[in-house]
Amino acid sequence: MSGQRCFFCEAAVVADTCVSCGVSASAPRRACDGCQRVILAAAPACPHCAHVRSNEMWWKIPLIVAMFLAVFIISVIAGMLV
Amino acid sequence: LWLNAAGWAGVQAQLDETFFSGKRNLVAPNDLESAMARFKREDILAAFQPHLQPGEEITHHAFGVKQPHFLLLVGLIFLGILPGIIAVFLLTKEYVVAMTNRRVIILQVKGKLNVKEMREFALGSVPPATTSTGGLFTHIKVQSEPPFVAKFHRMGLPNNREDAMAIGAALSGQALPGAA
Repeated sequence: MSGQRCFFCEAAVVADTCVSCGVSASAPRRACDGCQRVILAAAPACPHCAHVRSNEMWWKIPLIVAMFLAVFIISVIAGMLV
Repeated sequence: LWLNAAGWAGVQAQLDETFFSGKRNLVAPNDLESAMARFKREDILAAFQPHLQPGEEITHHAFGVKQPHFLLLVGLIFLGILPGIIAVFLLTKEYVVAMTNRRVIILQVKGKLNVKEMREFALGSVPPATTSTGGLFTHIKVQSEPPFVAKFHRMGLPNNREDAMAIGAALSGQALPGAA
């Protein structure tokens, strides 16, 4: 689209790619939790303030495993009591 | 939720009117969709407002999800129904998508429309995309980097099916059936 600007460096975008920094205009982006500036979603750390984003999976996967373990233990105990 | 006597009388009167006056048979399908909608229309439009450019107007908006792979979903529920359902809920990504006169904006949200990620596709330069519509869901897949895949339930929002089909048609470059 003519007139489109890069969300990252404000340079012109040609064929979905920034002519200055090479970032795709359709790449997922997010606000940095530290400085609130727009950065690439895939970036592990903010290039402006070096704030490292924690992956949500660090608590989701253990929680899911713990739930299944709890259900397994409860079912074993219930089987022993019956 | 504690109600005083007057408040409770009002609720009781409303329930009586709904359930004993025969009006329940007169509920329009759109009212049902509004009642089942995940978000309110005003809230969705407000979530997109900071991302709009001057002069840009939203023409369609839809709510969709990306669930884990079907086999993983079945496996998790097979292992344990309740933890399986909770696990599927935790692993599901929610999206609100808006089409404007210039582009398609995709917001990945969590909770009450808290935006986690945002991406956009200019209508003139969309990567290859495929869409399909079944009885319940409209599936949209954009082969971008990374790919965008989501499915849109027809009851996700009022007119969610029509809006998702319109957005899918714009992304895939197809004309909607019946469109001039």
